[in-house]
Amino acid sequence: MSIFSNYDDFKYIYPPRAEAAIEPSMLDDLGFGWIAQPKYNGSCSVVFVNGRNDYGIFNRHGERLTLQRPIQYTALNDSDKYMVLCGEYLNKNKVGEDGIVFNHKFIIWDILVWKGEYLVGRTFEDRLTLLHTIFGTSRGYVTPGGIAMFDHLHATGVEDVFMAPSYQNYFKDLYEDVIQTDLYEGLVLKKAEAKLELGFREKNNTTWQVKARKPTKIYKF
Amino acid sequence: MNQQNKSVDKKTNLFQSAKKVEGPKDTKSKLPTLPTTTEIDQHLKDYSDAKAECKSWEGKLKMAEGAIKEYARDVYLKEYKRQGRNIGSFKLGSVTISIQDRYSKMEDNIAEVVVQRFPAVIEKSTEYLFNQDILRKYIDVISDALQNASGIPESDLALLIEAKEVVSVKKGTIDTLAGFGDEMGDLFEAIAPIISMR
Repeated sequence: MSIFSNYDDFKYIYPPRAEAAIEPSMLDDLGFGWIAQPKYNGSCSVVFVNGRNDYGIFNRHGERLTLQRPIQYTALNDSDKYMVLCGEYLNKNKVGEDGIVFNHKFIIWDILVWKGEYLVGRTFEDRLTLLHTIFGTSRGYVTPGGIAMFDHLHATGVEDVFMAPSYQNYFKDLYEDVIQTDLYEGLVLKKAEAKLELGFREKNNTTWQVKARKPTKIYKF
Repeated sequence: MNQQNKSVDKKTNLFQSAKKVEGPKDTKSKLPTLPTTTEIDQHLKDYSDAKAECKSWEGKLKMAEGAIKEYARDVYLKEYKRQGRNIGSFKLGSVTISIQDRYSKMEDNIAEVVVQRFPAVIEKSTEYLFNQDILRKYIDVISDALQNASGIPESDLALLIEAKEVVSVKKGTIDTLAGFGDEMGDLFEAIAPIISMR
């Protein structure tokens, strides 16, 4: 336990983001010990859920996220204490796996606080296991019209909230598959054994993750 | 002579002159493409390839640096604890690591905990800032006031300057870590001394 472990009051935490980037061709150089998650094209956000009735969603600069639709974030919390989740709020009109715009959803890719404990010192693999324990690993869910299935998303049981799946190998092939979808920018690779460091500074936890993304489109008119 | 002329001229507002000049507008989407030669095509390809390679190597460098710093911090603290003193710089293979007596800016959330848990390592100072509302309201007058003019009511003058308390780490703190026993690691993370590599 760290002296920072106790998280009873709201304190903004910056999300752990990858700063370093590598060319997709080098992805297979990263092997054992790395975990890949799809990189979603939205706004990197942090949701602070206080118990079961109160929440706040912020962007990665610590400002409240605007232009969002109501999502029942409080239903994600499994305790009366704080839960802090990092993810991507989808608001860029990108097309999802089913060929239609996949907007105003939240995709979780890390957990920072659980049951009022700031998970400083816990490994990324531990945190992923925790997320799967809380939200399961289903790639589909029942809709009024049938069943929705995804290749690169897990359903959480809360409407419009998903979780990023994780992969342990064949990163180059995975990248090629993932980027076929407009919504997916590439991959973020994270060291499984990397311990979560404090996120009270904007630049944090940059040493154990790297991104590989498709080139940004430049439009000519 | 020149000085006399200057005093007669209409003074430029200090705040206006501090404004940034707008650069040319972004024309990325309307750029024409000009013809190239075979030779220049090869250079363009080399340029793109090298740029991509550089980006990847930069990524690798950052990752390696991060992993080394993390390891360096752990072995440094272990050795510090064993010897009971700051060992300063040390070598990891061919790389020299220096843990410096300089610290990252302390964010409020960290300062709150450090002030409570480790009051001995911090010092407080006060930064004075202009109140932006009052400043905007009297921007011309203030500009003149700064050049010996006057005109601000005392009530606003009193509000003009705001004070902000800043918490920072005391110089020499790095040499006192051994005294914090098992909390050494937490304190190290909180004060975040600059780690340099060469």
